[in-house]
Amino acid sequence: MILNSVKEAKGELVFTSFLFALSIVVLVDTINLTESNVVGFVGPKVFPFAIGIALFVLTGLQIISVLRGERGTPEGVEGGQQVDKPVWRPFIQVLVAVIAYAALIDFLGFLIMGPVLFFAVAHALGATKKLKLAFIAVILAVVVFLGFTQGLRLYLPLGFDFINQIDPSVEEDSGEETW
Amino acid sequence: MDFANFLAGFSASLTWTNLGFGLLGTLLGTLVGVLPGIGPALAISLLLPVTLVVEPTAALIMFAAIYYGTMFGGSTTSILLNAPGESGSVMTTLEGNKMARNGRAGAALATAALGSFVAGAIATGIVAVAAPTIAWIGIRMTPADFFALMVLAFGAVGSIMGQSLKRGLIALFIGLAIGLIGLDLQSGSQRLTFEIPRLTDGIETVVLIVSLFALGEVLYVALYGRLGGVQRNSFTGFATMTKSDWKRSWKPWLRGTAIGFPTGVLPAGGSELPTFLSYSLEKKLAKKKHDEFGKGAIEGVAGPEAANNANAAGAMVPLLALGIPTSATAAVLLVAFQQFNISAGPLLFTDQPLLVWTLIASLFIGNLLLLVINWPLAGVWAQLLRIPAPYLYAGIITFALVGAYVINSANFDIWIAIIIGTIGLLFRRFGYPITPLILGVILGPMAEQEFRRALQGAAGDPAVLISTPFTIIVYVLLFLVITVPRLYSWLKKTGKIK
Repeated sequence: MILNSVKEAKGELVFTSFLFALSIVVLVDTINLTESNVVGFVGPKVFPFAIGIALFVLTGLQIISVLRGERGTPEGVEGGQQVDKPVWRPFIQVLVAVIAYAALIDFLGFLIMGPVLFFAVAHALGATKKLKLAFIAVILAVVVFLGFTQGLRLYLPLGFDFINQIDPSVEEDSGEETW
Repeated sequence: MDFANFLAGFSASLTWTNLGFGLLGTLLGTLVGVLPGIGPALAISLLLPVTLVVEPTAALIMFAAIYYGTMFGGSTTSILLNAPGESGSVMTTLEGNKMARNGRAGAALATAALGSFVAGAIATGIVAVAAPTIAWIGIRMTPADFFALMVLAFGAVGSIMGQSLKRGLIALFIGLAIGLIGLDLQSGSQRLTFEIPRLTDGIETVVLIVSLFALGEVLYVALYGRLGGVQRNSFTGFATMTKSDWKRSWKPWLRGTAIGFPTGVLPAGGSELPTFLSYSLEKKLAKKKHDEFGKGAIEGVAGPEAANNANAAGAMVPLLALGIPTSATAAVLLVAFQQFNISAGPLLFTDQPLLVWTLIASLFIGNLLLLVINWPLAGVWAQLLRIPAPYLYAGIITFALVGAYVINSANFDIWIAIIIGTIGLLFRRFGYPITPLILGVILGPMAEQEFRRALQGAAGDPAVLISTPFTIIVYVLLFLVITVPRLYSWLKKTGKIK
């Protein structure tokens, strides 16, 4: 139990230190700012400087609080229970799914990556019936794709540009008149 | 109240387009309220891409209807599952779920829907009267006054939300720092862009909100949640109340409205505080009479449910009249205005009278629609709770990443979303509130602008910031908001007061 709470404190300490580091990033960026053409009495440095200082002081004090034993209470989970010990497997699955989505969306298109994302996330979070899940994932992606591209006329990638080499803006031409 | 404009707004709100978007908003809002894991701020930000294609009035009507609708729908989840549908319904869960277990789910759902309606109607009425008046004052306010109000909003939200003052303020300043990213429009300097060209325009607000609320939530649930195992109370048929239920409900409705509205106008950060206050008040008052608290008291549902609706309406006053959001959802609504290049604030009532009055009229209509689709159809909405949570969260993340992509048609924004989503996860884990961060990002650049204007007008003399009586009152108020609750709990702890 003691070991556990020490470990928890380490996590919070790392996070608080990260926030502390952010304050230094803000300050360094502000100091290096070149005030090229200052118009008026307040230049572009004043606000960032105040924010950086405030953040520096607050996160510094917070680090002291954490070292003294103050702990943040985790938020509850809607539709389930919050557990104290991290469950890494589903988390990594979700993270990989999201990163894969970001990396491949323009190549494979939404009609492939959408269902893959939905399937992977639901599966990671505990959905078991794979066939039903795959079916719903495809239906949902098709509905979302049509809703956005045809209904709202917003662009979602169809992907596979490397095969037919057609400019995506040309492909979307059918729906572009209203722009 | 400006009666001619109000009537013009009413007739303008009765077009098929506006009614259609209003109805769509009420349905979506109820849906979002019923489903756990997705709140009004997230729902509206997922729909912000709509602003690229739909005309302003219809879109804003839909967004406002979603805000109201969430407050209606949240009670269904609280009563039927032992879990709130969104954060404003946490208090409803305490008594509402016990009522449902005693076979009184119908009465709980009915008092929640009716209480929400009564509160929404009264509060919207006050909005119609108060907002133009406050806008009239707003026109006469100096930049220093506005800056003071924004500082009040920052300080109040930062100190009320979260477990400690430090955590709230750190969240706020992280938000302010994120708000700095991009080109400073006045001087042309690039701040915190790290020479990445894409960052010159700053981080898209839609991307930010979607990743904090949706992606952060899903990552958090994946890492620290065990889904399922929530006990469900069955409910079918029609939600009715007995005569004694009515008798016990109407006063809590009115008291809930009285608590919810002012806390919506003031920057109290959303519906958590008013619902808590209303619940505590009803519990205290019930001690004198038939005290059923802990066993399923209808007062404990009626009060908070009225309070959260009145709160949502109250938030409309500073948003429309001054352009200052007091909750995360109001902040997202402000972004919706900005997407249309409409500046919410004192000039709204003179520049866009038809738009703002159509919006207010639509709030009345939406409130009535919500009663109709929530009260008789409570049993139908309850069926939604059969959707397994993993499907729900997978759906949320899919919509979130689509929303992040379509704003600029760029997957750069998805990468940004992943980074910010991770920050959202860590905020949740270590007890930092999200709302002050959102408010910091959205209100920060506006505060800087007012600050510069104020000093510009005074030739750089910082004394201008406390030059009007209004500014002094606001700063005193801020001081009290931060110190009084802490003084009170300190006095209580040391036994100086009971």
